[in-house]
Amino acid sequence: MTDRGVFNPLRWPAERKAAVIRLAILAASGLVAVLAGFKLLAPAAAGQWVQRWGYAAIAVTFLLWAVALARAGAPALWLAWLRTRSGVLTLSVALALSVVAGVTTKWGYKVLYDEVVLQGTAMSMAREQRVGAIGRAYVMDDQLRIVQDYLDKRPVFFPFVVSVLHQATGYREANAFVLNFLLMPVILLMVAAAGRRLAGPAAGWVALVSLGAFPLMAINATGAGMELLNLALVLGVVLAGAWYLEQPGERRLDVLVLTAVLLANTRYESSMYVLCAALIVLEGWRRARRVWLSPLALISPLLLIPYAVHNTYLSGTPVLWELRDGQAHRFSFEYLAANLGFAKTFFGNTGPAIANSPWLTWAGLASVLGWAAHRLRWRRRGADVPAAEWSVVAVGLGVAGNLALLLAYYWGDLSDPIVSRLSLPLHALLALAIGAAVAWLVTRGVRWGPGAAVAAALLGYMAWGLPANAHIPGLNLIGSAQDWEESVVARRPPLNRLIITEKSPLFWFCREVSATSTRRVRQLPETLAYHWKQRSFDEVLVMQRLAPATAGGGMGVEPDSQLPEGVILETIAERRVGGKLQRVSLVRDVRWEPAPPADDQSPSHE
Amino acid sequence: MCWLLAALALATLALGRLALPDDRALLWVVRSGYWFMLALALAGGAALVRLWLAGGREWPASWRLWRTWAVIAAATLAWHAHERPGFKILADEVLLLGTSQSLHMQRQAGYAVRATDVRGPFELLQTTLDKRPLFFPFLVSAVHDWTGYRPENIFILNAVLGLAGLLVVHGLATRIARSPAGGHVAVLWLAGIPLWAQQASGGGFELLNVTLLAAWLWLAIAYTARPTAEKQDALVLVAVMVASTRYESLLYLVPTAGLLLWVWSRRGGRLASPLLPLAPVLLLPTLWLNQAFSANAGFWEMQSVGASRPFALGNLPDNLGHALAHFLSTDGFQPNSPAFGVVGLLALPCLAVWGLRLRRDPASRDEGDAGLLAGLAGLLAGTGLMMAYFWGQFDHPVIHRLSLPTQLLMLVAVLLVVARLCAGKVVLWRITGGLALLSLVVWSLPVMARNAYGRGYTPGVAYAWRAEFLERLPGRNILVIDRDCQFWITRGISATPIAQAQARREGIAFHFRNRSFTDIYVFQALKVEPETGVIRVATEDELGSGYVLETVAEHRLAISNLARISRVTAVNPQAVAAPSASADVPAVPTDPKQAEAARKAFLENWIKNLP
Repeated sequence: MTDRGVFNPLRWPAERKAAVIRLAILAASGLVAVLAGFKLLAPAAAGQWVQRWGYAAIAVTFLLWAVALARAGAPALWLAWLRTRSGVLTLSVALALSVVAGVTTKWGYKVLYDEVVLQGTAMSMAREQRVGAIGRAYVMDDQLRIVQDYLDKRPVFFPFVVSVLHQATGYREANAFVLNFLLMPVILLMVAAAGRRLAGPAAGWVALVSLGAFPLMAINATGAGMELLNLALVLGVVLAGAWYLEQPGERRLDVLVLTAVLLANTRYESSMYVLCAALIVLEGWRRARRVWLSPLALISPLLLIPYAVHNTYLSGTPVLWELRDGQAHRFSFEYLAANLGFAKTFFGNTGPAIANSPWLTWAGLASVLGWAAHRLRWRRRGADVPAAEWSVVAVGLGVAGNLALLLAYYWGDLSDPIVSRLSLPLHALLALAIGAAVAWLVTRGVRWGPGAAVAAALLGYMAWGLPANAHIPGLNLIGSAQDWEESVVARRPPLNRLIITEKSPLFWFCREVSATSTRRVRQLPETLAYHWKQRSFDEVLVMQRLAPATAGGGMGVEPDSQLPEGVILETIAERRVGGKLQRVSLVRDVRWEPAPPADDQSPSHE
Repeated sequence: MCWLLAALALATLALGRLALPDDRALLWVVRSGYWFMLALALAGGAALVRLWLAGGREWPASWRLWRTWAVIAAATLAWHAHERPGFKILADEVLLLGTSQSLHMQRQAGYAVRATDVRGPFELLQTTLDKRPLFFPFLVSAVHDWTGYRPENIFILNAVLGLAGLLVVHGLATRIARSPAGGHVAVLWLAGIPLWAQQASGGGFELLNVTLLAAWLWLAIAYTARPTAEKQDALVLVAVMVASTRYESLLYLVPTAGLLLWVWSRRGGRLASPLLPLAPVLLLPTLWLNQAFSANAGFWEMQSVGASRPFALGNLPDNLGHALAHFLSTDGFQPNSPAFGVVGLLALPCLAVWGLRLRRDPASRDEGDAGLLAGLAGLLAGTGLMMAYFWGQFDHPVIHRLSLPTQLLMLVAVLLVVARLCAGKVVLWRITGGLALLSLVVWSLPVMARNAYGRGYTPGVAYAWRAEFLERLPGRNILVIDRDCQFWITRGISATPIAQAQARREGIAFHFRNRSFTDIYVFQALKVEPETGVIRVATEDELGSGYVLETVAEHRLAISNLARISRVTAVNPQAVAAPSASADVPAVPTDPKQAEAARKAFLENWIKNLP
């Protein structure tokens, strides 16, 4: 106050000087991060950099986060709560809802090929500490060797966690599924904890049951995708933000900042939550009337460089965007109208083919509107918004931003099972909003509110959610075809086998089986002929798909499944999957002769 | 409140029996049946929880004794040691499972007659409404909902109901006998009746019916002893559950209504309870479903025994003879306990003596006797209805199970004789319990182990053989042509009846040609001609000349009955040759749009041609 009106830094108190210096360092590290991440490397070089250094970078970030968490005492707080009667009860309900999810939904890959690509990246990270999805791999010396890899577009934190599981327990395809299933009760505990901080125990219970009785949670908890880890970290930012705002300090700040950095490395669009964390940090400074910046917070922008470099690679590699014919941009307002229609279908659905929750939609919407009206009136009093609420609102802005981004995305069809998973953070916030609304009703004398809300959530789950749990996994015909092919192979003796498949060979890499695609065999028939002569494999199996050629049937091999002439096949099994036939054949012979030179008349170099 | 209840009851009667034409009423059952049952389960559950919270002390202390749980656990262990889980009564049980599948998958009442997985998930394309009330299939569907669909859930539910049934009967018996000894004796008697074991491992609704009846009787006693709003709600909603479980159980609503009016008249005014007005409304789907019998006389199945009227006094002498044959049989081909039959039948007339004593000596009356009398009147009326039923032959394999409420009546009679007429002397309890235990060990366990009463029922054996055949198959992408196609559909396998396969041969030929199914199997019953010993396919299972079959497996079900499963190797040979993977086929269009158009047209054709 003494220096008001006169800009003379030399006369500032030491605390203010230190704050300014730290802010300057933060700005500098931010500038370095932007330049290094987005400007320094060309896309190809950026890809190579991520492949080479991505593992080390995420491992360091993860370690820093774990240390920050331990230094702040967060694990001890959680353990203390879980030892109380309320904690045990909450954990029991979270586990019960997770078990219901586990027994009412089919386990398996839900989003193809995202989940197998992540599995391949995790395998590569576990074995070679290198970020790369598997392009080609063969069993040599009784071990699957990665012959060629490529950098996938997906951020690396989920495959890193799976790779840690592989390293700790041995490589197993099931590790990704186990991780996701364990994440479900963890997320439910986190949402219960967030609800309690937001509006008391009743809010925690209602939020827990509302989110736990949600088919999208069940479907992701029995899959191998990165959505639940993303949701856990979103809730982690909410909790860390509330914790920090309650008592701003360097240790709590570290937890918040590093959780946000990990979140940015979990899904592409989750980098937006870094801004939410920044908002919370600023609010903390405002409340404490001082600038808190720990050494870790100062270097946090540098920790985002790998994410930015990865993004540079993705932006410069259009083939990874998977655009459809006629589409030139990933994001455009042109997609908005159609996506809004899909969103309406998704949120209003009551059938079993879409994993939504009418309870979360309608009760959540009413709660959010009620909260907005209440907050507008209450705000006039000028008091500070409670810490937990501030944190939820800040993260809510990120969720809203992500939703807006999704609506302008070329593949933003929320009614598509592949896309609907992106709405998980929104639904978690709706669950919290319902919890808070019910807790508010209790203060108004509606004592039966929490019981009724829990009953309604469970009833809605029974009426609409559980049929969806059972129905939706069956819609994945590629997964069903893959399951059947695996069952056919499992009935055959254990051999050094090569699989030629019309689908992605990644499925087989995950099971440590040599595999390649029919397309590659068509492009390089001589390689198959060479290995056939060398007897490199004890058995070569071909997976093909047959489709109806006319309305009357007449099943023919699809163009993508065709092999070059000279590969002699013997059908060993066929099965209808959906309206098409899936066929497994044994290669009996490969009669391939090199094609004559294109121009026989060309003069000899001799 | 009283006027509201009366208005709702009248409106329910009008809407349930008069206002809607049969077809419309049945359509409403299909669409709303699940939701009514859900509301009934929630309201009933809420009433029982409120009762528990309001009067925990009224629940028998004997439930806290380890002896009680030991007796019940030993009884259920003995049951499941000798009875294999499986369908015991066909097609009732499999249709109940089929209805539960539809309630689970699409929240519609009815069992599937056409189903496919062509879009990925197994979906029911066409369902038809069954005549059976919906409460039991609803409970099975709830088990499917929360644990995932599997046909075995129906057996698991009945196993749990067996345990729950013994627990409720123990409580009821303890209440009637005023001693836990009565509960132990009751459980020992029931443990020794093979029919209870058979039902606890089957897929029928009988055990739910008798468990609810025991609970209803107990609540009737408790309600008339000390009426409270909680007991009233529980009594009425359990009565509605009973009425929604078996067709004839609707009659238990009459004594329930009588008890309410009696209690209200003694109190000098009605007793308000919050859930009571719901009760009549929750009966609507059962009343609508009852119209199925007027819409379709075939539902009575009178043609199977050549009867012309479902109920007649003329059936009484014959049915009484069958009942005696069932209760007193000693050849092991009846799932009975002759010792219980003798004791129970002797005790039944004593009920009249007890009734007279109550009338002459008011001092001998116990609080709650009015409820007990009303309950016994209900059970007697139910037994009387069965005796007048054209198919009320308790010694028939399909009808044994209808004797369960009568057995409950006999058990209560035995308890009353010992507890009231003989003053509940300890020595008498010991003698009765000893006799029950002796009967269990000496008679029932060997009879259950031999299982002659179950093996004589050839449709049940045929179902068990189908299950064994299915277990051995490597894949499930098959089509089965079978008169009892429900067995397959409830296991997620495409199936069609023989008659449909005869009528839609071109559809089967389409799928045969396009290799829609890995194999097409036919299940046929075979009969041995007694004079010549020649084995022939049963007339109703003949497929016709359009199919060429290759026998895969045969099994003798009984001396003169066999079952055969064959693989279809050609359909209508003039038109369809055996499919060959290498046969010339048109090329699949390379243009994705054309390929998608061909796929859509084929899919449409595919579903149209499903038999």
